Amino acid sequence: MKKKILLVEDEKNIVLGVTICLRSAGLDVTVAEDGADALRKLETDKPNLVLLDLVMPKLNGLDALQAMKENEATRDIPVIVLSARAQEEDIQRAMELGAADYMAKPFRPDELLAVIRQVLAEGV
Amino acid sequence: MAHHKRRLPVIQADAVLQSLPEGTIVTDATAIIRFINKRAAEIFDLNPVDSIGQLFEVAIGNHSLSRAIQRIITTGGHCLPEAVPKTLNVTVGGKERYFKAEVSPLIEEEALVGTVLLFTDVTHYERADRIKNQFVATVSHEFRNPLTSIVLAIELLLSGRQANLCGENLALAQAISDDAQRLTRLVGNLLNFTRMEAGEIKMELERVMVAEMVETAIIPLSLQLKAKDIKLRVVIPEGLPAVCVDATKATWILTNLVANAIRYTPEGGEITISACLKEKKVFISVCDSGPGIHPRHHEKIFEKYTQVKGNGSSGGAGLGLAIAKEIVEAHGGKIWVKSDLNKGACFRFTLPINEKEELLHEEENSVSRG
Repeated sequence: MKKKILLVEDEKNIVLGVTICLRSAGLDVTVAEDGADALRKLETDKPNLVLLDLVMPKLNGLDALQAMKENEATRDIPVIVLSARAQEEDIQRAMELGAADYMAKPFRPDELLAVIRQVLAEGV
Repeated sequence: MAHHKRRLPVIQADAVLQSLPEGTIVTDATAIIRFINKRAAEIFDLNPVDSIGQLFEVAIGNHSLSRAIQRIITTGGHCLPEAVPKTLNVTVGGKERYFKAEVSPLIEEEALVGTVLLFTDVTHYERADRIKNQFVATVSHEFRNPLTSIVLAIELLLSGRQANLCGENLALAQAISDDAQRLTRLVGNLLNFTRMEAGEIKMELERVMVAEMVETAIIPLSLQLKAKDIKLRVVIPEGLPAVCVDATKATWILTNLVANAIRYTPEGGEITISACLKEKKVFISVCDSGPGIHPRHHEKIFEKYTQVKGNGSSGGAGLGLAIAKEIVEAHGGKIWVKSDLNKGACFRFTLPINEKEELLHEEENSVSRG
């Protein structure tokens, strides 16, 4: 069965690139445009993995991550943080909140897929 | 009509020195303070009467300034004027201010009689520099989102899954990919540099073998070496002690120096990486057989945003060597170049082998008050 990925990102061109990249690798993709939307779709779509941008309108990535990890129904879903805020304190904060991995923007499709495969394999 | 020269009153040297807007301190040849003007007393929060007759180190307590004075005294003034590398950060009258410090020998009848220290207020420049750094950091950061979609899009097109590119279309796509990567490196360098200048990058020290560092450093460059058919020689003596460094950052210096060397070395040329132990430090060299660098640019090339013209186009932001210098200095080391035109260039830097030496750097950045 196809693995389901929830992509939480508000930049539409990045959404386009990541979506094509994941679909061509045989993954199923749902998109959420902000943190609040992400929390709703986590409940309905039950993804196998979340790709989460940190800087977003409404509910930012770190707050969404925290809310997700505090909810028993969603806390075990692995999260890979995607962010332009490649500063050490953000990585540290995301890891403390329970992110499985971190990708600093910009990244190449093969790098993204390698990290996704690794995180999915660890979760099995 | 006869012109009568009016007699001008004599101006006392002491009054001149007292009125200077720069802080001025004079020591004798035993590093004892013999003169301190009003401004210097204000900067260091000292009573001028009490501090005269005290050892500089005791009154001011700044190690790097004391060392600069000692160096002048021990060499009898036969050393270059000392500019203390970093600006001094001092709170004067409750306000944070920055000073550039210069230490010079005081010579009378060709003999060294003491030293003169001059403190120039550079707060204005320092603030402008910070604002500029903040701006550069914000801009580099904002570049990352559009860069991400460019990199993703072009790499997907090049992977051939979306369309089979060939001929000129492939060359065009490859050009976008190459320059997107170049832009990514530039943005990364700009961000790293501004963060390093702001002291935001933490050093994580560990013991690393130089051979391992070299091996890691050249991995991303193997394609470039092959493309230009450059022979890379690595000469590291057996038994060279491990260095105590932030491995990622120190390796970055090597990658950067070798990448520069590749850029300037003609096809079929040679690059040598060597290391040796001297004065309890490890000296690492990266030497190329490129066009060399004119001696008048030897210091300038380590300044930020500096590119020396006439050495072939490189298309960088002129930050690589400035970052390398920041990293080396943060380890308590030095970096320099030896080169003559048409004779290749040899970049050399030092790294510490034990943990105590790195801490020096941090304590020198602040002035303790006497």
